[in-house]
Amino acid sequence: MNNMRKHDSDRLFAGTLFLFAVLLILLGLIMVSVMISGSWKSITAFDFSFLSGQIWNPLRHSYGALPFLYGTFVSSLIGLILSTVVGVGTAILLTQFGHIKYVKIATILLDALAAIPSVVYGLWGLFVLVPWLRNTGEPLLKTELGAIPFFNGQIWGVGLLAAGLILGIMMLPTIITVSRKLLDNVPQDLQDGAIALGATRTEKVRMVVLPYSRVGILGAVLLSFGRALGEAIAVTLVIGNSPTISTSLFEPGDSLASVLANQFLEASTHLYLSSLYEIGLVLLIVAVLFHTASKLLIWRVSGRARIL
Amino acid sequence: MGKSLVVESLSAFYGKQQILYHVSMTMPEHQVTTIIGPSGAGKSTFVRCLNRLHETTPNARMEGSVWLDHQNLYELDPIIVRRKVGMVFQAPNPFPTRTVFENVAAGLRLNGIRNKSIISEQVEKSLQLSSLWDEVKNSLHQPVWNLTRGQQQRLCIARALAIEPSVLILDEPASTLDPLSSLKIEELVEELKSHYTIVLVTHNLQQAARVADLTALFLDGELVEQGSPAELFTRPKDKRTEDYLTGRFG
Amino acid sequence: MREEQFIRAIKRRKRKDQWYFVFLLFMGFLSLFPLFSVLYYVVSKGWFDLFSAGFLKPTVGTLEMVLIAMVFAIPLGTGLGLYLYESRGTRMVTVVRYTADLLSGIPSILIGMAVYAVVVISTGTFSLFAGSVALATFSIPYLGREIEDQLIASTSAIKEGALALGATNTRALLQMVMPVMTRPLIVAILFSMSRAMGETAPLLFTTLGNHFWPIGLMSPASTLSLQIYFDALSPNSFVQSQAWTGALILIAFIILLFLVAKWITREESK
Repeated sequence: MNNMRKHDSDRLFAGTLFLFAVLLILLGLIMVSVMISGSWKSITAFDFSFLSGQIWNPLRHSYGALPFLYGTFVSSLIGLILSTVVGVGTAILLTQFGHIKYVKIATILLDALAAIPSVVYGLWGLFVLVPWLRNTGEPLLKTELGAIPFFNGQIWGVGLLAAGLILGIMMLPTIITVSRKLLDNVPQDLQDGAIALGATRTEKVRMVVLPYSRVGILGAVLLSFGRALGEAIAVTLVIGNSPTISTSLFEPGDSLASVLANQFLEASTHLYLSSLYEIGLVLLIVAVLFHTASKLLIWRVSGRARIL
Repeated sequence: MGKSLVVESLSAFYGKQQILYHVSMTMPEHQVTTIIGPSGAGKSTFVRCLNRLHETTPNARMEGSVWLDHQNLYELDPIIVRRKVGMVFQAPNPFPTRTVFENVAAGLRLNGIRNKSIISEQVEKSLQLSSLWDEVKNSLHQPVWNLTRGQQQRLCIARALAIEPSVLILDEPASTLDPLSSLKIEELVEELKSHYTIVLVTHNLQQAARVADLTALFLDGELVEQGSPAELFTRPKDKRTEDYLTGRFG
Repeated sequence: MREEQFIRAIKRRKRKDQWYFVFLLFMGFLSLFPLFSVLYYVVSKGWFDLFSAGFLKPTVGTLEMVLIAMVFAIPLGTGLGLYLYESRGTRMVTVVRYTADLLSGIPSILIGMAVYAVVVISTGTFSLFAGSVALATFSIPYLGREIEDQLIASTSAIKEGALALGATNTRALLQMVMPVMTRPLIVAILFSMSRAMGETAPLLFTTLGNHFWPIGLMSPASTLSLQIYFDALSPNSFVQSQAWTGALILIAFIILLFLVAKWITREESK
């Protein structure tokens, strides 16, 4: 640089830009402070019994959030398992087995999958998926796998399984997109090493491709899990909205985000409203934790390059 | 063990672009054949055709035939071909998540060998052959990234040898190594030729002259001249060879 | 190693490879099946009612709300993007970028709660405006990050060229870089609009939904996403069927935005 003194207009410009950054941080702080101040009454009233309480009955002033935590994690976990198997499988298919022509078409279709709004998935879930589960899917699971407690219970259609399936579908695009980028980044010479030893495509994937990208894929899975935990609309439409804890995945449940969607505007007492804010706070903390963990994992493998 | 490799009118393509033009040559058994030429001359593509690695790249295609022990490699299953023709690459590429032992055993396990004593016997033998055994025998179950790059490259040689190929291809194996490691690889090539037919791609003419029994020069996808290094380096028959050797080329 | 043992192993391995391929094809099919099923039902159940007047209100509501959100989000998001690009490498940027990713990624219903507490309570009414604020809250960081990426990807060379010619930093950025950025910027805005259009959760506590024509910015309004949600929850099967029509209109708008974005990038690559 030939002149050390920064130009005045440059300094003004940099200052202006800094304001935008401050504004963003401010938005974040408002978010956090609203949740904390809103839930203060509930935090002081219940301590940790709020999280461990199993009964949620505002009419009787009983506020236990455990059923929502349970429903949130179980439904997201079902989604996670399904979308990991299907999504990583699809990513392997597209990067290791695919013909370029088909891959291009599939990419457009997968973009479309990501673009469908959650409320439309919820609508489809409620009127297409749930009736199918009630009439075909769940009875089949019950006869085949009824020995496992998860698949043994009264059949409703709506419930944890329906919510898990919808979440799985909604998690797919992220998992596929990130996994594809990670799989494409596996160095070709490592793959050639496996092929030159006589490995089939499958064996190459197992020996080199997956071991090389597994940490990043774990990051992608955590990221989409974090997002699934907070999905309100689609889940509300299919989970059944009943604050119970049941082993059977066929039973209705409720989640943190969907109890907010259903009850936030109905809260009739200060304590009721405050305990809903506390549910929001819990959701915020969980989302931040998963977001941070997944970012760290993906950074670790991609050398801070932005894959997401 | 080693068998000569005969190439007849080999052409290779990437899409519509032709990389190799009707190459015919013989790589005799128990000898070191070095392939020399400027970068972009098709040396790597040529050797990647020998173990049918070329065809795994999208849009890549090849024509002609390669004979090993009276069998046309292009009519065999590629997996069988790669079992007979082993390959070592420019940069060391051990499987990063596996141990030293498991890297060498990888090819054996692929081929369905389960017997533990056979595997450890074969791993030791291969590491002996690549003169790495003494350096790693106490750290067989350590991760590979504890090894130096030179050691990693010899590990890759051991990995290729473990499944007992007839031919060993080395594609500029020393190009990313320090001079000392490079020299070690060179010595190793000399030792190994009693067991294998060796094809060595190199851009280092001195190295080619030192280790070769036969040298072939590639320019722009064509095999320009082949012969013993003494002939080729001192009395080239082709004007282009002379130009290349005296540095008047590219 | 015996040869016949090896040949037998190869047969087994290739069969395994084939089965694995079939399995992966099935996974690929499972990935795309929901898309086709959703589109099939949305079109087949939704098109009957497509031209009834009932959907004019929520359509207008959606467009109005998204456009107002963009009035906030475009300048603020652009400013944020420029900041992230200009100050990259500093510790402050790491914090800001992290916050941006977090804000655009946290459960959107939480944004609805925060906007309720700040805007709805202080203005005393649910409103289209409050909905716009909620949509803008995640659109600003989203746009900012997109713009930062586009700047890094496409323009550092151009900017260095301008600086070498003696332009000040600000001039280099505003006069040389931003014109090149127009197309990527528009694409980023279109994507952000399509996301905002489909969001429902942040509107529940801010816009509330309404069966009347929006009276003004400061009154509750109906949007397509809210209408789909409430219609789906209705026990009345006629109302339920209207949800599909709403979904069809919403998806049509999103596809339209995508096509425009594709068209813009197509022109660019020529």
